[in-house]
Amino acid sequence: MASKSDSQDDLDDPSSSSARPSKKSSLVVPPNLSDQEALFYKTAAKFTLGIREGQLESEIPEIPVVKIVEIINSLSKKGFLEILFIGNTKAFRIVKYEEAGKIASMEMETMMVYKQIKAAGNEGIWTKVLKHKTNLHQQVITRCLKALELKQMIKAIKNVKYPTRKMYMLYELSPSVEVTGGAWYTDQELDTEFIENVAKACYKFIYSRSFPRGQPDAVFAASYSGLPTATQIRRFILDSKISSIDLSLDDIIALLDVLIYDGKIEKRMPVFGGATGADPDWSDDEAVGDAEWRYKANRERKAGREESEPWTEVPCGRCPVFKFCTADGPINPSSCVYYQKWLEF
Amino acid sequence: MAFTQRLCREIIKDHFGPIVERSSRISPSFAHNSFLQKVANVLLNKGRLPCGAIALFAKLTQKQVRECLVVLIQHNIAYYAEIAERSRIVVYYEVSEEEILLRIRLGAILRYSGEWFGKEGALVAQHILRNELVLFTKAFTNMVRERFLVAVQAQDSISAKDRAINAEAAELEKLLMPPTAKELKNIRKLRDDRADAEYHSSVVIGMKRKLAESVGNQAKRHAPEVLEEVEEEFYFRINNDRYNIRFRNEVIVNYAVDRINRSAGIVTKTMLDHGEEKMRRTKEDKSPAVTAVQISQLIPATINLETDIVLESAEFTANSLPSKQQLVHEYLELLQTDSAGFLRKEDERGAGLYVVAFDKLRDHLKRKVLDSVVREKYGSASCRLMKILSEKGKLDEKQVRAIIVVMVGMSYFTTIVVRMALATRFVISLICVQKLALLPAKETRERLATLGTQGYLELQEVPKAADRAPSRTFYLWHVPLNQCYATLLVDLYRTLGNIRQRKRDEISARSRLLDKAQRQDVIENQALLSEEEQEHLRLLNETIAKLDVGELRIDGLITILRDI
Repeated sequence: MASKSDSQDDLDDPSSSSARPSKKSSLVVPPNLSDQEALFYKTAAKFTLGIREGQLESEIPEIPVVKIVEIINSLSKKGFLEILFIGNTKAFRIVKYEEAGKIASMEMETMMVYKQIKAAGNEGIWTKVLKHKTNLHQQVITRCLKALELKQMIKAIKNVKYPTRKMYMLYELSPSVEVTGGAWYTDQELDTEFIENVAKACYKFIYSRSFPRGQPDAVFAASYSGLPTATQIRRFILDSKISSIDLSLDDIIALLDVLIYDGKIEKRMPVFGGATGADPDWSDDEAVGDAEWRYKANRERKAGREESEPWTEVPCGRCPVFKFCTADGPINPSSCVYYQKWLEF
Repeated sequence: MAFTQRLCREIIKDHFGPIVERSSRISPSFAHNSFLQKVANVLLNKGRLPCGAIALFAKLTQKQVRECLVVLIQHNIAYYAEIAERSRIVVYYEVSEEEILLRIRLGAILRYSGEWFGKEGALVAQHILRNELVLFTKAFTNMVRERFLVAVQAQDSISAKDRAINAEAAELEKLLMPPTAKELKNIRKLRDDRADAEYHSSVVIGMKRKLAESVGNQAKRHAPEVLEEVEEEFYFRINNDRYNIRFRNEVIVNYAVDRINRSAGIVTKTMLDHGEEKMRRTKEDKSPAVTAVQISQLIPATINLETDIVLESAEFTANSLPSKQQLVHEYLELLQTDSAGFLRKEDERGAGLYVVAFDKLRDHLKRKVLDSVVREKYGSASCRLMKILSEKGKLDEKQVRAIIVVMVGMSYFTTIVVRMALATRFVISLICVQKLALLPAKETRERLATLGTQGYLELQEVPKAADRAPSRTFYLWHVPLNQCYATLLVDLYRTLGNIRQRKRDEISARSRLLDKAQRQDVIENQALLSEEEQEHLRLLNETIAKLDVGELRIDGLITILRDI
């Protein structure tokens, strides 16, 4: 979903906050800048999300405030600086030299389209939204997109949520999890077979750790600390080469949640103290393991005792016309074919 | 409702109908059992009526109706109420659906009476159910003492509601002025408390105590032995509540065995047995408390608990086996930490004071029944969807964010609606469900729609704009759990009705053969039946057995949904 956000920042690196300077190694300062312009450019480059209006004075004390407006104007005219709005405050972000060259050679419309696509980041932007935002004619947009695609500056992507939408993003970015759907999607489709296989493997692994081996009716005590955590389960899945894709911890947790919803396993808070002290090498297995949820398999149904559900054993529980069945209607228990079949020996 | 009534009619037909008339001795003096059916049907369909109206609807004379009512009241199925209308008193009669539905369990009651109190117990139950004279045997006394049988009192034939209304009226009459709201509330509370106290009193009505004759010196040291005897002027009936408690306890113990293991079942059973005397209703929240020490003392020494638990603690090595008390403690811990929530720890007293958490177990077991029905009927993915929908209490951040993002651009009013929905945590949008369930969007939509049409899900619409256009509306799903249980229960009643109807048809289709088989000379000499007839008879018996088993198992589900 291409939601409108008032700041046009592409969140290349969401962990870094805009208020803090970030360290970027190779910075090419464009030639033919004045000393003060170059200084401004270098300082602003430290902020990936742009330098705020209020930060200017403290960050660049060398330049007097009156001069700053001039510098900003000249930089932005040359295409080396863009002005953003973060909330109500203005922020200034540099445009890299090589990029500025590319953009400078573009037409006005193409530039607008490019900037919008860039702003959408790794989420991509729908052509319809693009049209709405740039306010350009459809034909113009199509032309621009074609030109940009030819230059390998943007690429078309497919969104799993909206497979019919034509979406674009910058060529060098890789689509976000939202767009691709994550590890569980293959060719924009949920790979149910793959999910099932991995889920089965997870369940088997958890089951083997939940009950003592060799004793059919035995259980572990409540203080048992051998229940696997999601990290352990992930390692097992990766080690056993069940999945060719690198599944993240979140992916595994999502899968375990599904198993919980299916009633096959359950989550347990880890046990602290007590018997855990008796087994010293369990905790250095992983440093974060102590606070993680542990997973326990539920006992499989015992054969013979409950081989079928009570209601569905009787034909009525599975009857497709149950709602129409009445004591003396056209469909009735006396002449019911399902009963006939059931009662045949 | 219609289906519950139909089942009631089937039960009445079965217990008081023509088949019974022919083959058993229930109320031999009462020749026209089909009249009884008519009366019961009228009361089931029309509700509370005076005698004259019943006669009118059933097309019987008032005398016949009165005879039928006597039988119904005697079997505790019908209630009466005397109501003053102007200067005269009108007597209204009604039948209780709940009581009729409880009659499904008569077979189980007979069987378990035999199991718990020996052959004599089964006989006692059978005689009581037939309203015959009972010899006061030892089993009978035991059953009365343990409240499996209760004395019938005059007010038992008046429905509980009427009793409450009467009690209230009696209190109000004492007042000189019309009561204030507060006084009325007090009176009602007092009335309910009194009824409750009466129900929970430890005195068994219909029992008298007498001192046993002292035997030598022993009597001096011990407290004088008290012999309890049944008072002969009382009439007794089966106490369904008491039997249901036993059934409930058995369900819980079996579940503990299924979920953990045999020994956990034994520990649970010991706890339940210990507190059983104090349990009066199945709707209690918890069992009487027991300390861990008491439990380990109550478990007989012959039972070996340690074979099926693996303790990893260093304290228990091969040379120092864990004590019984430690083992019991481990099992209590297991039962307590289990997500079904078998036990709750009340206090630390006596190595821990434990109760069986009926309230939590009740929810868990009901949920399990619902889940298994949905899984069997609509597949495990549908069951998963329902679980996700109902576990809204665990809405994680991503979903909240998803919903909050959508909230931008909504009207103020709509925002409030969504906020409320989030606060109550009952609704969830399709996108969230699909994401959590790891199912394709299309399948999710189809499955949700199916569940919705079957009444397992409900849809909450949240319009974005004032025009309420479907394209600008959020559709949020939620699971109305109590409604699901109610629907399921009615479906089960309906199924029972079907089974009974089918059974009746199977029997009546071979009624001639049955008549022959039950003739005195045929019973004495089986050779009088041809080979074909014997084959048919065998087939009929098998069919009936199969239907009966189905009925019993469904009754098990009903126990969980209704009586636990």
